Amino acid sequence: MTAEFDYEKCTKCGICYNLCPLDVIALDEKGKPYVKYPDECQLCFICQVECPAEAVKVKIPLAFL
Amino acid sequence: MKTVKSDLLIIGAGAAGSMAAIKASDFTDDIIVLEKAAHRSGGALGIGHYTSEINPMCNVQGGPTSMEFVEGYMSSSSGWSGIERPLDKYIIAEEFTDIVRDLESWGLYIYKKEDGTWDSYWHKHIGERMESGCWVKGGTMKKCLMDEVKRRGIKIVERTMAVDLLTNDGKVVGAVGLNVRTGEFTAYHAKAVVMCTGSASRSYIVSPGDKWFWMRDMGTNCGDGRSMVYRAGGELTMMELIRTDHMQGNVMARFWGGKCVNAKGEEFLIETYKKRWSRSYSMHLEEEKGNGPLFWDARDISDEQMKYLIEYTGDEKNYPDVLLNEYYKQKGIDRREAPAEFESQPIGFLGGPVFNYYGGTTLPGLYAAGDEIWMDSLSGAYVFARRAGIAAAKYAELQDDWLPIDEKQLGEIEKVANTPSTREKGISPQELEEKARAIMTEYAYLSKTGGKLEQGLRDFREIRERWLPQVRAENPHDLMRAVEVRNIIDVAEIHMASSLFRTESVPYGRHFLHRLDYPTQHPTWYRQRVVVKREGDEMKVFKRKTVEQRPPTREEYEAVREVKP
Repeated sequence: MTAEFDYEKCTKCGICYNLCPLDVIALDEKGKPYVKYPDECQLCFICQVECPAEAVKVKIPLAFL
Repeated sequence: MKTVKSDLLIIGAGAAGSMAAIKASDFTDDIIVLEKAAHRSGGALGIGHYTSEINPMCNVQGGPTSMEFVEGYMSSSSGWSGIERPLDKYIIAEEFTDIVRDLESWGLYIYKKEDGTWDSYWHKHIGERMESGCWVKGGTMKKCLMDEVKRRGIKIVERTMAVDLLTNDGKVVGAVGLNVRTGEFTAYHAKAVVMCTGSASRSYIVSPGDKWFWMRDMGTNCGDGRSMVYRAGGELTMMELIRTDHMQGNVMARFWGGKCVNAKGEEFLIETYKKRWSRSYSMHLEEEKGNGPLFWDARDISDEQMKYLIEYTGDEKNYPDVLLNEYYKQKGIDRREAPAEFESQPIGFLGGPVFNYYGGTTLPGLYAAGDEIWMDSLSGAYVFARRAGIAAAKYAELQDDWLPIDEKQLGEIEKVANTPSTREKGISPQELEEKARAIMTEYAYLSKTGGKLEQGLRDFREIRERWLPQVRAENPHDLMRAVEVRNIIDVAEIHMASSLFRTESVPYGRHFLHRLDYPTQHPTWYRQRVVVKREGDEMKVFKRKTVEQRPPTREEYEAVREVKP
């Protein structure tokens, strides 16, 4: 998994969903964000940088390290 | 299909698209900009490339004059390749500094010296071109464009990609857009179009274990514009020149102090700079000699230098260093303890649509700017986007009315693009993209041979005949990927055919063609460009002589100074 969400901090504001350039983040029926297309994540960190609640951590997959 | 009319349609809202829109808005209020992602995140700037420094800064604060800059350029491998158009560089040198002043007035944060002047630098690498620029806060780079676009009331249509150009008797009259979240198609009818879709970065699989979206350049940028221009019958050139760079994380090698060393610890770049090779090509050749891997050795940097480096590039909101610092942190690298390894990555192609000094392509009504054309720098993107935006707006002004849309063509474009979503079974576009990029990696990587390129082209024929007609999209997201994979295949074939045609090896700045079967430059290719054009269903590849290789005169610049449609 790439972006990891801390749902205790997440306010479901949708910024990560609105910004993700490759559109890999989706919202579930309750409005919670999740990575729907992990293979297409570019690891650009925009979700982590722009999250006002600091609820997103992008974890670089081991294969890339 | 819904039709939306505007004077001007701009495709892509990155650095070039945003700048073209802003400058065009001095001439018309009727502009629509399509953006595949969101305005904030679209284009290379969106994810933070090119944002901690800007260059070249000429004719200011002791920086080089335009002529000094161009002469520096001409003496590097770019000028030496014989395929340069030196007036392009002179135009950038003359006009970029004014654009930086615009950007600052829109909110770009430029670091200042104590006396209030820009914190600029000016130095000359050994045998390399003149470097001059200033440091900026990366987080404000895209934001200042967004704010200015908003102030001017320019309409950005987000999550909408262009699928194909609409033409009337060879003139471009708009484009078909696809909303990548709803799957809805819309006809954007315009008097002029500016193409700014960025690089073609999704062409290779970089290294074993890497996922196919892990790359330096913006992942949304996969050659949509080049492919659309090709399909509409426009000419493309210099597509044989691959762009490569050495990365840490997915941030390219920059030497803000420290040195680049090979596996033996030798600092090899100084020797190659003397031979006037560019950094990228030198690093590639060093690895090919068996001297890899290559490292950035920052152990000797003084504490003061390191502090400066971190202050100017380490701001947590200051892209691209979020990536770089996260990479160091998560990988566990301490730059002061040990040299950090580079990874070589191909990140696109130099070439694109043939364009004139005003960004006009070979298709009337179509302009192009940014990475779309052979302007592999932010300064080039901004300068030619300003020109293309103004030229397109002036062209639109000259049209009495909108030329009609060809309804048959419109229907055909929608049918071809939408067919993957009507298939009940088939392969996913992602699977086909992986295959196309695997073929490129196997047969058209950094070092090429005629035999491999021919085999790659045969493989792509099979892809077209057998696999492309089986692509199935289950939802709008996959439909976007299906449209993209068609573009990725077009660009791949154009790159392979151009590389096969050019029977020499040639360096061009950060770009090169390296043919193992033709390992040196050849005089018969001097000043010759490879041009690609579609005729019927066939790809036509031919040579065209470019301009004389000498610095331009002031008169030549004055003749093109005022932007013409």
